[in-house]
Amino acid sequence: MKDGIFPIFFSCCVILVMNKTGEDNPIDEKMGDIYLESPLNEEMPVLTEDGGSLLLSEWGYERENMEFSLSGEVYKLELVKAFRDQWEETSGEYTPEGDMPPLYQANKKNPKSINDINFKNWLWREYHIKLEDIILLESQLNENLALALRHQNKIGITHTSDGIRITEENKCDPVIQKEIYEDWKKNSGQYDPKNDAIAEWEMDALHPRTVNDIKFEQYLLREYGMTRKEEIEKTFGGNIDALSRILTPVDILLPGSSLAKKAIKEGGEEAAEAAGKKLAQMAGKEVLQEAVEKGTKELAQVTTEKTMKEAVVMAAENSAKELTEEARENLARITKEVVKETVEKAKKDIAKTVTKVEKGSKIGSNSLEGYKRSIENLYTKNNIIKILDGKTTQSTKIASGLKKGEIKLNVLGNELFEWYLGVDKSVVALQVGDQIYIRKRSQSMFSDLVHEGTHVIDYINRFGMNGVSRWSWEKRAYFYERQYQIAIGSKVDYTTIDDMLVHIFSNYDRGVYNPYNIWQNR
Amino acid sequence: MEQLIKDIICFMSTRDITIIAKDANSCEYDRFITIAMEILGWLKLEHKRTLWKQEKKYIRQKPLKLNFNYTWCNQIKDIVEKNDRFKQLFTIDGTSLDFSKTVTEEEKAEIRKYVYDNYKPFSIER
Repeated sequence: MKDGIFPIFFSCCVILVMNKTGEDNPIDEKMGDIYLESPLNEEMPVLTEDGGSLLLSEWGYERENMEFSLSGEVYKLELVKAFRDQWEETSGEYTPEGDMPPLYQANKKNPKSINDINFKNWLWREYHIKLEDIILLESQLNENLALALRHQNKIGITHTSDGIRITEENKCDPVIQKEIYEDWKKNSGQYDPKNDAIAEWEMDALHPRTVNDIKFEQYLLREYGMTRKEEIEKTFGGNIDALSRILTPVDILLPGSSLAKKAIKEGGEEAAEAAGKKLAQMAGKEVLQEAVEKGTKELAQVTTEKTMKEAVVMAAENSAKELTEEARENLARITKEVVKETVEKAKKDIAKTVTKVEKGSKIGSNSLEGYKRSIENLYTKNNIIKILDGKTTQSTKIASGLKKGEIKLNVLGNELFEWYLGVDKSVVALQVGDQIYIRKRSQSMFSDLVHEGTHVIDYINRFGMNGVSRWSWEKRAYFYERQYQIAIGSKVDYTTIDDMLVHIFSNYDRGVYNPYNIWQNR
Repeated sequence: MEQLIKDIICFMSTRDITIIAKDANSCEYDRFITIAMEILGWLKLEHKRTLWKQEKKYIRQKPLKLNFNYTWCNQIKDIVEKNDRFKQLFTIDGTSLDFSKTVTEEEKAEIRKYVYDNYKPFSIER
């Protein structure tokens, strides 16, 4: 019966299952549980989290019938199956004969049965959900899960032999990279001393790599999400190896070359400038003059024997060769100076990074939090509560509210957020009654939560019962949000309280806001 | 039209618990704001479901689901058991809160429509 649509699901599933194999930790431990809950008490799909299972509650289903575990690899099938069962039970459209594809589908590669088509239409008609969307949602979840798991296993948890925590900020640090390299060399089983020679296919490359280098790069990418570009960019200022890989004497010699430009752009500004100046003095004046003189003499000699054209070419080639060789020698000296300067700079940078790392490890979970946020906002309700709990008094209150079920949290994708709540892109978060709506991809998820949570708590605690201005409501929310940002050591939205007030005064009505008088508000 | 529903809406404005129960025990009713929001939200949704049904959608009326891990859900159970006005209007069966059997379909519809028209949850955009 379900063969028609399920080949697609099976194939997706197989891939996803493969992704998950080899993970030590069961997924439900990491992800906790998610269920879909109705926002604004209306029949719409909403992603939020609560105790134990993935549920579709007010999506038109009974909750208890919709439970399925995230730890099961086949949960994708479960979700569609649940819809399917619902359709079969309630719609009256299902017929056993409908399992056959209609005539016009018969010649297609994956023919859909009449039941499949009816089911898909029903899903759209009833819940305004596309079948593809469910699959997308799930595959996203799956991918994110795998990513989160993989990175969680490495970033923030792995320690180097010096006991330094690897974070998103310090992962490209040369010292830490060296540690990672040593670790890879010892433990990965990929390192082979035979492969220390330059790879054949890299012979013609500008910066040829060994097979081991390539393997290590792949390892970095796989385990730490670190690209070569990122590595070079981040380490350029501090890593002498990376610098020397980019800046060869020849590169500096030719100030117009793309690599020299790149060098200037990528942080070697001072070095390139100094080199350029000296080059202009030495190579530009003396060497060039000599070369031109030699070239002219040669030209005079050869003119009688060969044609003018050939002679000019030859002379130019010769002078260019000499220019290059002499300049090379001069530049080798200059490069040494540059390298010396860079080493000093690198030392300073490393010292800075170490301070940062120490600070990062003090803040503890925040670095992990930041990293997670950068890949995807994938938090369970329990994660959110843990993160909010104990940071500030207000965030602790909000965590407690979430725990007791008095504040309800809905994390929506951008499209759904705007479409369902009827707001535009400028709205970051929204609070209705005891429900908080925030964007799934919000960069400031937790401070948004503190902001909107403050509104809910204020409402519950009868703040401004006799009517206070909207400004007062917002001042409180923004204040607690800022307090939270300071407490976790993240960037504050408003440098001073005055900046914050200016924002409130210019963006909100001054009028009295009394949410308690619901008759007046209508 | 059931007076209790009007009183709950009135409570949202005044936060005066004596409207709901004259001899209100503060311990039993300290989560009443959450309970009130849940009940009114549920009734509002129930009316929406009625409207969807009229549009021939396959929707049915559903009870308010409770999760007894939460304090307010336990309190609502106590209130429905002990408070006579609640007892007459609502009943709890397992983890579901619904109208009691004595309430007729007309009354239910009237209550749902009243809440739908008169209850607007407070909201703030950021």
